[in-house]
Amino acid sequence: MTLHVPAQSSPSADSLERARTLVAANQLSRANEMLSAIVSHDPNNLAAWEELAQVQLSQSLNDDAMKSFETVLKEKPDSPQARAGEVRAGIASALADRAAGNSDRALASLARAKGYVPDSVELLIAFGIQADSMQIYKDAEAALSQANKLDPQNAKALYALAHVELDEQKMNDAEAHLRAYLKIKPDDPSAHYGLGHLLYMLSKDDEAKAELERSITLQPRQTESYYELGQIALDAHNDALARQYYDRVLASAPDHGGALTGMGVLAYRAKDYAAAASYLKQAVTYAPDYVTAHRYYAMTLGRLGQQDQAQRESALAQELTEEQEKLRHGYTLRPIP
Amino acid sequence: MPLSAANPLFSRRARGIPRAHSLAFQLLTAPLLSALLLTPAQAQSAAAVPGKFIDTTAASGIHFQDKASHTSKKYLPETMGAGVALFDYDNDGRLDIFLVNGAPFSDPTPTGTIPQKSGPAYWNRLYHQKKDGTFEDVTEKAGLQGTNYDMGVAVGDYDNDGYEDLYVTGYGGNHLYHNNGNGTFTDVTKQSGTGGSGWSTSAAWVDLDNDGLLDLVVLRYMKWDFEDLWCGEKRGPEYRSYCHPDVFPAIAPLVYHNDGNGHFTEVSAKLGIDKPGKGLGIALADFDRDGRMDLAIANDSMIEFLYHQKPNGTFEEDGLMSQMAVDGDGRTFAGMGIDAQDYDNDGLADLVITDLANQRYALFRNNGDGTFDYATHMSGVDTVTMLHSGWGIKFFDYDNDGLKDFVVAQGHDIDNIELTYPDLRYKEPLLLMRNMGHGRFADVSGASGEVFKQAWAGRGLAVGDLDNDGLEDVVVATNDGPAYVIHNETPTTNHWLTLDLVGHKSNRDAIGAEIKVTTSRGAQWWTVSTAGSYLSSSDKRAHFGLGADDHAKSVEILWPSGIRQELSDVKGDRILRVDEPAK
Repeated sequence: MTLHVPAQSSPSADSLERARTLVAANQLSRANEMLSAIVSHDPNNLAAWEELAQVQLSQSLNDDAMKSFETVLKEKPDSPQARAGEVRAGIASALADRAAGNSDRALASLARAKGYVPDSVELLIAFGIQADSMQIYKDAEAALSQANKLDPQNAKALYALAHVELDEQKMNDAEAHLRAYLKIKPDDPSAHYGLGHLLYMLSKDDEAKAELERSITLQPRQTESYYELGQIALDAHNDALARQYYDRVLASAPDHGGALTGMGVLAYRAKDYAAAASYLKQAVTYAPDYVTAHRYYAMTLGRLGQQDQAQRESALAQELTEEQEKLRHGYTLRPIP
Repeated sequence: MPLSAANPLFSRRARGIPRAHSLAFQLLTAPLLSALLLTPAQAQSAAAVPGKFIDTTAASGIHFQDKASHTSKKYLPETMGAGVALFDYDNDGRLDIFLVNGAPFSDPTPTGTIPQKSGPAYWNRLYHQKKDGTFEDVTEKAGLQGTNYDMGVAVGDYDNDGYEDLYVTGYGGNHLYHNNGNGTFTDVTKQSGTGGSGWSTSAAWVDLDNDGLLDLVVLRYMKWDFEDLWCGEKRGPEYRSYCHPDVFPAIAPLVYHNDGNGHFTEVSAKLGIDKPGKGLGIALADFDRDGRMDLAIANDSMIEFLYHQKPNGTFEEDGLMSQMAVDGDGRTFAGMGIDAQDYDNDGLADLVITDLANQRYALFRNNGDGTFDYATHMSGVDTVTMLHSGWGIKFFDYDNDGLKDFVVAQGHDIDNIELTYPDLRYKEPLLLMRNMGHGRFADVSGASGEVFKQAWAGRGLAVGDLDNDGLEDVVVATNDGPAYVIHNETPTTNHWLTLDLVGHKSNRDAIGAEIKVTTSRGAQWWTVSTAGSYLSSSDKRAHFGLGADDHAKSVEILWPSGIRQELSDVKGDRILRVDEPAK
């Protein structure tokens, strides 16, 4: 089949012009009807397809828009308008699917668009982020690495790549890409926090502290950075300093389950079990899935002689641990049919 | 911003906590870490003196091959490995080596199957050390070929006849072998009543009631059978994995009281050592210094246990209140190997427990008030061990400086772990951690010999001075691989003292005796035990590094019988036999 762009004087061309007029007047439904009629009558009319696709996209008929753009791209794979439209439609479709809770479909839309526009950095990033959220790490990393290769200075790609590498536990790579991101955006307090958190998890406490303090300098209300600094101090048994940081967190976020737990641990260490119970009771209320809070609460209740309640908390901690282990290991279990 | 939802990218946390009101922060994360983070050279501080360890397996005459019997079904025993024992079975003054082996599985194996050894490839092996330091295989003569899919070994002279006996654990039943004193052993499982059931792992000989006879504590891993369960990601058969312990129910250990007539009585419920666990490692010490032996148990992926012995001789599991049941974040970990000794020379037995990558080995410092501090962070153990998975572990003073170091057999349990976690490894090198003093440890593996660069699926590990040269050696069992003899040739002018205690009122092995050795640098303590590590049994002799001193100012021994003995100005650089006095 040979497609063609119809001559201006043809009936289709007249209809197309009228459709464009409707689009300009924001009468999208009527424009859609007219353009659909044109392509139905003349399926080879690429200009009409392209116009229809744009209208469908404006109407949030994302799947229809993708089909229309793809009709064009099959014949004109380098069409800048169709490529850009396919990217926009694919991402819009995926966002809608994800909002509806259909991650598989979201990823499929992006993969489909990627098939037509394989070198779109924007699309690769979107695909990578979606795949990462679905724990399809290899594909996520491949897409984001490709995006990074196409546009090494793309901060978003670097950030997303660091994230998937973190999920894959490729910590050196994650650290390198996060540092590269910070070269481009040195004043991003969240990224400094992220790097600090990463370094903390790697037990590079001094480097972590520097990043966390930098994030606070850039954004003094970085409660998570204060919290993380508290954790580092807690691990080092620098209890007084840890308390200062947790106090800072709780001053701005009194329901911060982590800081409340930290305060509970400090009180437990000081054998002030009444205070520990008070903090930890709040912690398990505000952070019901936080195993540490439950475990220390159980230990505290045990110290206070409340054995039954301690056992309940301990059992809850174990249940949470097992649930989270399943998530962490990603293991599933089924009998072989 | 498409799809990324402008979230804080690093909302997942390992050691941190989810912020209560933020869903993003409630995502639990895999703790992390990358094996490449710390090369040994980086980890080694300027003051860290490396060891020198040489793989002498080839020249030793030991050509052992573990048969794990891997199948497509990924039956859990396949990856758990086996143990090793270092003991002098013929009393010739030289340590011999016993290695445990598996049995064949069919693929699939029907439920209810008790696998049996089908030939020499699956035999357990006893290697006798000859005068020239090489070993000869005396398995058949000794009658120690074994029967089942065996895993663990514990050494103890249960009848006080002066010859070390063997207890071998495994899947489907255990075996007690009495040492006849003439190079042969007799399987006395049936008449002794120690056969057990289920899946047994590490065992420990210890005189729980101080009647002078060693009792036997046998851990069991879980209730398990050859069911065809698929675990792991469903992306393809290559992703099939060994099932997580959470899938299987816990089970109580077995505790056998030595009745003194060759018979044992199972008393786990009577003594209160009957809490269901997933026990893989056991260590013993009088942690609370009340004169009664306590037990620490490494459980896999649940709380760790500390059985505290009460004045009436029964036990109370008190791990949580003792603060050794979980890590510093209150999280359980995959406890596998364990050892108990006093690493900071304060007179209190501490604990170290190995676990899986991303969990960090757990070092617990004994506070002396019935509680332990999680010392993993402060000791430097966290940074080094984050990406490693450990099994057998032993405290030992490899350079005789008077500070106990530790060595770990490593390797992940999941043989395709690289598919899902590219930075983790199924096979890993040994880890040697040097005690730097002041509660700090440093990784000196990379500078301590090529043997620390070989990747193995390490499992069992035992320590002992094979050639009686004053430097403790290491033997490692690997899963479905060879056993390795690793000779300690660390160049040092430090002096040493090895004490070979012989109990008379106490059990003859003196297991449970506490020894305090004082030099000009201070005191150090050791609890006599063959237990600890993983599925393994180490040299019962107590080895002390004396540092620059060529003698110990004093040696104080608290025997299990309660008898105290003190020796003064004890010359070093020798193995000294010490007999328990009458009172």
